[in-house]
Amino acid sequence: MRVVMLVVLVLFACRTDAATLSGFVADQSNGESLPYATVVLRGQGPPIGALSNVDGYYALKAIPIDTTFVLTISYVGYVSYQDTVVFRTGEDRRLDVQLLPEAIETQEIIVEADRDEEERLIQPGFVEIEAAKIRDMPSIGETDILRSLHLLPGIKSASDISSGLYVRGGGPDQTLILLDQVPLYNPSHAFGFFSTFNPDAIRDMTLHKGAYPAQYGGRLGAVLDVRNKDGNRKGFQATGGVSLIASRLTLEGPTPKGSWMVSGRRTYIDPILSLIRSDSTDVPAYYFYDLNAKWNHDLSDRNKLQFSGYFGRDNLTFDIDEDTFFKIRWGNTAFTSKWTHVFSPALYGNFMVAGSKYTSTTSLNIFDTPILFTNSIQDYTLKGDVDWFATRDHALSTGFYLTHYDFEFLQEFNREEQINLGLKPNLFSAYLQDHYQPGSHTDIRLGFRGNYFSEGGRYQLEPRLSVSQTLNDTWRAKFAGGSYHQYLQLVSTEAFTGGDFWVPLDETVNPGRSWQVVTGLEWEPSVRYQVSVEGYYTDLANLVVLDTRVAADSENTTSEAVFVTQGSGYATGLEVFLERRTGALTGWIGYTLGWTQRQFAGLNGGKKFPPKYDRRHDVSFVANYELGRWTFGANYLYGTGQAYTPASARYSLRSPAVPDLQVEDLVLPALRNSARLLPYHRMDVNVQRKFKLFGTEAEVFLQVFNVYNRRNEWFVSYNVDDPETDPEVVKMLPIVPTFGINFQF
Amino acid sequence: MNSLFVIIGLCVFALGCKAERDASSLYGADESGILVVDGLLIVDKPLPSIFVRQTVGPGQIYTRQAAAVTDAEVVVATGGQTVVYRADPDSLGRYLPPANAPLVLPERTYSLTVRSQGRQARAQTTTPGRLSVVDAVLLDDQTLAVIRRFKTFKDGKEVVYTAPENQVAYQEGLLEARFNPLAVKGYQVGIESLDRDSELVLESDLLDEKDYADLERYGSSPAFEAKDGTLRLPWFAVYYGGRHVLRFFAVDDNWFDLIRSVPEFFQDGDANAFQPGGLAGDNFERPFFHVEGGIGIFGSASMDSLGFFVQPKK
Repeated sequence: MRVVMLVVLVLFACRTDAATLSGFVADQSNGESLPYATVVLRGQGPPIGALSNVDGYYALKAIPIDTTFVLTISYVGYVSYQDTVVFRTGEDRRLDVQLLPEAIETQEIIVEADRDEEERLIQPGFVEIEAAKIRDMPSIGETDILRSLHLLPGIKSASDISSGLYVRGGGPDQTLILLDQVPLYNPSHAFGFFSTFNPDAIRDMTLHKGAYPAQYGGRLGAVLDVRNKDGNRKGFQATGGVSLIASRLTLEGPTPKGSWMVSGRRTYIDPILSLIRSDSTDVPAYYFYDLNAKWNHDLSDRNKLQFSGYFGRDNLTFDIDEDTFFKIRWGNTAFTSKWTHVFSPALYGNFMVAGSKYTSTTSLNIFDTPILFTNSIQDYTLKGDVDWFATRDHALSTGFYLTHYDFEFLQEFNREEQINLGLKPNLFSAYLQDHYQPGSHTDIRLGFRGNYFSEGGRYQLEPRLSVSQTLNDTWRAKFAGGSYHQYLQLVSTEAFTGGDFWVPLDETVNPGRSWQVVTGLEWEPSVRYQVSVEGYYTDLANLVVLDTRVAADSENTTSEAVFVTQGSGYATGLEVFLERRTGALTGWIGYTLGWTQRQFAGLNGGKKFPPKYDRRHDVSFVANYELGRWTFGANYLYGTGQAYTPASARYSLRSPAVPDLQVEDLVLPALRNSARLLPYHRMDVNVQRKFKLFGTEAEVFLQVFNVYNRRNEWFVSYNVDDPETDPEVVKMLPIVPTFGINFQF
Repeated sequence: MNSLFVIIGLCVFALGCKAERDASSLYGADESGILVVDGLLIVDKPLPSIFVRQTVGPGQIYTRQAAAVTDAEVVVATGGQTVVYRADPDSLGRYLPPANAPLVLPERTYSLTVRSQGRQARAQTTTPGRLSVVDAVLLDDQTLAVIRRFKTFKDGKEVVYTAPENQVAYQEGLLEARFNPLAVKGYQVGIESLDRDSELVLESDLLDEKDYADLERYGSSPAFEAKDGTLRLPWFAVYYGGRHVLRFFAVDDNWFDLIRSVPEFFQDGDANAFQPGGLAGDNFERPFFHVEGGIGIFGSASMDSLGFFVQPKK
């Protein structure tokens, strides 16, 4: 009711004699839209400002007439647009602006920011990262945008070989990962070693580390929103690269009324494996590839169409002999078709039909015993988002999501179907959000999101709030909070992600629930430096975790039977972030102090325990130094060792089905995750040099992962074949040098 | 100056490489001295012997003999009847029932009490009803049509190994046993190759000489619910030719919970290594013991068996 009253008040508050300014902000070099650009009118009174939305569209309402304003449209890394403007009575002025990229020294920043209003300043825990900058960071084999996120405070990885995201004490299933607004269910290649995101095809990504706003939903923790490039509207462009792992090629160019982009990537490790296999059969065949495409078409200056797609596959085949083989194939497919319509200068809409599918098939034949697991999750979504720049102080956003899920899981053992599970739930969500600016120093974003999930007929209302207050020229305080629910559960192994799959929770269990609170202070003494401190607390309830002790052929596939249910927990911590954003030397130092705990009645004797990714201290250091055509980069990471479950005793039991023949010597586990591996630390370095190759821009790079060869601990296993227990610490990756070449023409 | 950088670099490299530590730092809080009971009752068989051991700290030398508890009082009770066990002088930690020990009855509750040096462990089991394999067939592995029916032990003790119906060529068809499902949580299957000197029928490029040498003549399955009353033998459970016996167990809750929480009973490998786990952590989790004041198993099952003869692959 209050929301309706607010809308009515806003309607009556509109001043019909005032003017409106609206339009798109884009990059002049390639025509790509610029989201979250700052648009400010400065005159005699308080400034009138707004941010462009994710499509680069902005609108300023209720502009006083016959007043001289200085219009400034700015975006970090670009030359600001400035003009003097005067508006007439009732004028609706359309102004599309293209900003020119600035000189290199001001662009060399990873986490974008602007001194004026910006999404990051309104919403705590928000970062925007340009894919182009990630390519300058040291990596292992192949640039990876998810791995680059591990360098930010509050974000961890499970191991050196995992690109999974553990954000602020949450598991990887608690982060919603979107590609062009479509969820990708398993965004990894090579069992989690690489993410599915081709860095050449990606334009940027935004990450809400917590307390995210009402337009997002469906996960308990965080949202990573990755956007493909739109394609160069100014001319044909080709970019590519060759590394030790894969080759990439991206083509893009203009159309008479838009742009297009096609990008592909493929590993070529399989020919190498084939050569090795000719000598020995014990080498599997493996490859992955992915393909991104996008097409934009401007029907008019008020109507735009966009189609985009993603297709990626991993394929592993291990043929041992006639009776024994192992095959696994998995991959994601996603598409979107989006219509953007400017109803009026102050009313902007996006309408989308989208789909996403993840499939995984594991087929084994062990000594002529066939075993088959197949699973797929597919969704079809109808989505609409409308931004209404209602008044100078209020910008309303509303939207709906209609998603139909189609989930299947099939398990066959020895030619006998053991499990055949199919679920087809629907999720309907709608949100309403008001961005209220009661003054030039205050931003308040109040939103509500409602969900209806057909499994169990569950309704949930999720309030969301963020408040940002500029204290003076250099200090800003922020607060955000909200409620979140999750209806899908990831079934995962922590070591490898190839067999991961998602399961909708059915009516037998309540969906996961979290309450999040984030608060922070930011200090920006100059454009060059920024310091921020953020504290967070997340309360978790109705958590589930796969019950690995269910009988192999169990036909009871309800969520209650498959999962250990009714878990609870919390995650809390403090993040400190010091960043140098401009100049030849850029980078940051991040520190996180964190705690996270879980509790399940059916695990660990009902006692609380830390998940493996609970880290008390986490330090990251990132530096990038530009020297003419040379670029030098270094990362350093330090973290408290992961939690693990140690052995507390040894004992023996006879194997019940063959008690006279087999006695097993066993280790007794102590309390879950009650011990710690040694602290994790690692340094990576990177050297790049730009040069001309047949008249085109190119660069060679040398990267060294784990440069001082620290053999970090991964997990512990206990060998009890001998009277003396032999604990073995399995180590993570040693020093790994890689090199390659990137080009652009 | 350059030399200094080289020396510093080498020191950092060497320090980085060094992430070793003493094995004792990898153990949790010592839980030695806990009573470990091991008793498995089979319906229609005499009360079994029961093993009593104790846990030993992970950093100490472990042998089953040293872990044996030799001074325990072991008592099994059912329906007002009490059976006092005695220590087996020939086997440390083994306790024997009296010579006239009663048969284990179906659908009956038995309790165990073990006392030793101020420690007491108690457990209870309710035996399942009688299990009977009603049919055993060989299926075509493509069409799943029945090729032939096996002789069972009801037809004679030796005929199951000699009858033409029970001669099975390795990896030819699927051997399926059918039984009337009981009101139990699950089933387990054990397999034993009875001819200790029979030849290997398994040949695979996957295995090397050591692997072949390690192949056992017995094995057991994980827990199955088998609600449709059928169980199929996977060929990866058979390594040798000759006489084989399959034992089907309808198990009580204690037995079922133990085998579904101790994967080492049916798979090789080190504890805690690459086992599927949930996101809350790995699954190196304390098993379900159902022993008050101790750990181990006091469980029961009803059993039926099937015999057959494995011929080399055609």
